[in-house]
Amino acid sequence: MKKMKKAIYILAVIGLILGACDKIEEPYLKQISGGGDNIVHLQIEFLENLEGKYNLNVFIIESGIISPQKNDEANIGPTPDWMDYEHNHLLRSSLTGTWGIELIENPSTDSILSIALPFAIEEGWETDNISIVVFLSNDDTREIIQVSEQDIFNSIANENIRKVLLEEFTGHICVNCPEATLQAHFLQHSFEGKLILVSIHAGDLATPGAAPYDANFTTGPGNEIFNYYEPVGVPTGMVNRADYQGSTVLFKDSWEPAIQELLNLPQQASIEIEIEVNE
Amino acid sequence: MKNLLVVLITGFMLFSTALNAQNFIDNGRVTGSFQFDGQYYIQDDKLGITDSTLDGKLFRMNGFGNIIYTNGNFRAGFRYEAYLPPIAGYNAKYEGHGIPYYFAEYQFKNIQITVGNFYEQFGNGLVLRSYEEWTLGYDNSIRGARVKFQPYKGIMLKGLIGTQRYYWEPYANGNRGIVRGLDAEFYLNEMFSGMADFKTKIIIGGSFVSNYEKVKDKTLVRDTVIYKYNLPSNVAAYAGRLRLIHGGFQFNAEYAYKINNPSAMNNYIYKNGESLLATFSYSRKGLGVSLSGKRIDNMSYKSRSSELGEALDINYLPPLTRPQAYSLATIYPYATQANGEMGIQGQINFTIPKKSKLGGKYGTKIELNYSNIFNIDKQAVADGIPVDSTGTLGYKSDFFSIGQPKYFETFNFVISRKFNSKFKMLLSYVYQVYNQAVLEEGLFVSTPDYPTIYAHIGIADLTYKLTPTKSLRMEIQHLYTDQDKGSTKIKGNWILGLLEFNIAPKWFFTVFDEFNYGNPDKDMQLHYYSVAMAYVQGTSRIALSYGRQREGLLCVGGVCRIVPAANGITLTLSSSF
Repeated sequence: MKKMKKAIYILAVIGLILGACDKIEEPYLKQISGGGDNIVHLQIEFLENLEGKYNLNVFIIESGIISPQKNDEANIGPTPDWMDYEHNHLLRSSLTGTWGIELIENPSTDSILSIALPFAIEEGWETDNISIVVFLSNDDTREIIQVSEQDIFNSIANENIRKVLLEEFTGHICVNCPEATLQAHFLQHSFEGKLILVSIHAGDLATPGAAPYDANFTTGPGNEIFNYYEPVGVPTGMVNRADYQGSTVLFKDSWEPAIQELLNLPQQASIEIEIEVNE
Repeated sequence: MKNLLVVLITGFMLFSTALNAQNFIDNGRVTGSFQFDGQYYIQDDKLGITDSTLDGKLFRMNGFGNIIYTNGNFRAGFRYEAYLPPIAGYNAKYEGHGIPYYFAEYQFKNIQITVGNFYEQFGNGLVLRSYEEWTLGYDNSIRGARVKFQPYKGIMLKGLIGTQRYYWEPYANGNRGIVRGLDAEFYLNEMFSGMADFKTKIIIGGSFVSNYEKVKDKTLVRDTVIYKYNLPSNVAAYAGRLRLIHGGFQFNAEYAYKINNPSAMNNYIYKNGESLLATFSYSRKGLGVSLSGKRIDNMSYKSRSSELGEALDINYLPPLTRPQAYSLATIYPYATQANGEMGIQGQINFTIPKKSKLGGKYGTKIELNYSNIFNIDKQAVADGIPVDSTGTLGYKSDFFSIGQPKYFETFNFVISRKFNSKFKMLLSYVYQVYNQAVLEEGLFVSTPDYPTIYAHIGIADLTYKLTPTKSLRMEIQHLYTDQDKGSTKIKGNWILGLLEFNIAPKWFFTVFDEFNYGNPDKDMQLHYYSVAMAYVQGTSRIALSYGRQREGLLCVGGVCRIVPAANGITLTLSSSF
C-alpha cells in the first residue's frame, strides 16, 4: 500500500508537470490592424505554379524623418551626433501582423487575387512621406518571392519585373549605421528600381534613450522580426529573408551579391498597388 | 541513419552490463518480416488512365522489412520502408526509402524502457494511440522515449515523450508538436488481496496527454479588419476509463476531454472537446450480445494544428460500424467524423445448436448488427454568429441531443451454415444509408450531386470441398441503390461474381468480375475484372493478379484513403522468419 501511495503521488506530480496546458480566454481574436479611411488596393498575380502557403505582407514606411543619429564616419556626415540626419524607408507599422496573412495555398498561374486593405495614418506620421511596401512570403520558410512599393500619390512607376527587398536592421545610436544605410541607398540606385528598402529600428541600439535620442522608431512587428532572426548586431540586413552563403542576416558587404543572385531568378508573382487616401 | 546508429549503440551500451559479446550472439534471436507490393499500370481509356495520368510512373511499389533482435530482456529493431514511387492512392509524400522506425527496449524487473520509435495506446485510444496500418499507408509512430512501470501488482504506469512520424520529414524547428503522455491503470482485484476472489473484476484507468507546439502567427481578415488568433502552445487532453467484468458480462466505458484546441480540422474554434465511448456486452456459448454508444464532440487531436491530412493524429476515435469484408459492402464505408458524431451499435451473434431441427448437423451461425450515426446537435454560441465560426467558441452542444443530418446507418444480417463435410454456405444482407455529402465532401447539405444513398446488398458465399485438399469457393454479390446518381464516376447498381479454386495449403486461383451495370452513365457501365493466383510456402506468400481496380474509399477502423481507379498487374510478396 505504501508503495502504491508513493506511485500515485509520483504520478500526480508528473501529471502536473506534463499538464502544461494553455487555457485561452476570450477574446480569441486580437485585432492587429484595419480600420481607417484609406485603402490599399492590391492585385496579385502568380506567374508560376508554386507549392506551399503564401502570405501577404503590407508594411507602411515613412521617409524624410529628420532626427539625430550617431555617426562614426566623418566622410559621410557629422560625428559623433548627426543632428539633422534624414531617416528614410522607416518601418512604421504592418497592416498584416508580423508574418503576414495567409493569402493562398499552392498558387497556380491562373491565381489572380484582388484585395483591399483599409489603413489609418497615425498621428506623427507625415502623410506625404508615407509609402506602402507589399510583399509575398512563403509561410513556411518566410522567404520573400516578390515585393512592390507605392507612395501615397501613386507616383512610383512600377515596372512589372522581379524585385527584391532589403530589410536593414538599424538603430539611431548605432555609429556604423549611417554608412550601411548609405550603402543601401547606393544599391537601390544602382539596381534601378529592382531593390526596395525597409529600415527596421530594433535592438538595443534603437531603444529610445535620453534626449536627443528619445525618439522611438521601433515597432512591434520590427521587434518580432529582429528577435526571430537574431542578428549578431546592427547594421545588418536581410535580402528577401533568403539564405545567402549559409546566413539569412547579412553584413553590408554581402548585400550586393545576394541581391544580384536573387534578381537572376525568374519572376514568380506580380503585385500592383494603388493607394486611395481619404483622410 | 545516423540517428538510428546512435539509438542502437546507446541502447546496447546502456544495457551492456547484461550482455557481453559472446552471449550477445549465442543467446540472441533475430526475427523479421518482409513485404513487397508492386503494381505495373496499364493505360485504360475507359477508367481515364492515360499516358499523362500515369506520368511515366508505370511501375510503383511499397515495401517494408522488419528486423527485430531479442536477447533476454533486451530487444532492438528497425523497419526499412521503400515507396519507389508509392502505389497509386498512397500519399505522394511517401516517395523515397529509408528507416522511419527503430528502437531499443530493455526490461529490468518491473520497469521497461524504450528509446526510439514505439507504438502505444492509452485505453481505447481516445486521447492517445500511435499505430501503423500498412494497407492504409498510415503510420503515426512516436519517436522518443517511453517508460512502463509496474510499482505494485495490478498497477501499470506508462509515461512517454516524443514526436510523431510525418512521412519522411524529420522533426526540426518545431515543425510539429512534442507529445507527452501519462497513463495509469489499476486492476483492483490484483491490488487488493481482499478483492482477489470477487466475482466482479474492476479495472480503472486514467490518461493525460499534452502536446506542445511552437505556435506560428495566424491571422484572419474579417470585414476588412485583420485579427490575430490567440493560439495555445500547449493543448492537453485527459481521459478516465472503467472496465467491469462479471462472468459473461462486460462493461467498458471511457470518457475523454480535450482543452481548447483551435486547429485547421475544426476551423479554428476554441470549444473544448469531449468524447464518450461505452460498450456493454454479454457472451456465453452460442450467444454474444453487445450494445455500444458513443459521442464525439470536437475531438480531432493532432500534433500539428494546421494539419488537415491523414497524419499526426495523437488520438484515435474507434468507429461504431461493422467492418465489411465483402467487396460490394465496402463501396459505401463509414469514416469517423472527428468534429462531431453520435451513434449506437448493437450486435447479436448466436448459434442454433448442432443436431437440432433448425441448426442442422453442424449448427447454424447467425449475426445481426445495427448501427446508426448522426451529427451532434450544434447551436450558435450567440445571436448572429453562425455555428462553427472561426475564432469563436464554435457552438454549444447538448450532450444528449441528436443532431442532423444522419451520417450513416447500417443493418447487417449474416447466416452461415455447414451442410455436410463438403459444403458450407454464407448468406448476408446489408442495408446501408450513406450520407455522401458529409462523408465524401464534408458538406452538411445533400445536393443532387451528393445525395443520401440507400443501398441494399445481398451476398452469397459458397464453399465446396472437392477432395480433402481441393476446394471451390464462389461468391455472388449484388448491390442495389436508386440514389447514387451524382457526380462520382462509379454509381448505381453492381453485381459481382467470384470463383476461387484452392489447393490446400499451397495454391489459390481466383477470378472475379465486378460489373457496374446500373451506372446511369452508359460509358461507365464497366466490368472490373481480375484474375489472381497465390502460392504459399511456410510463412512466405507470393500473389500475382491482373485486373481493374475500381475507385473508391478504403477505410480501416474509420480512417480512410481514396483509392484511384487502376488497371494493371499486382505482385505481392510477403515472408517472415
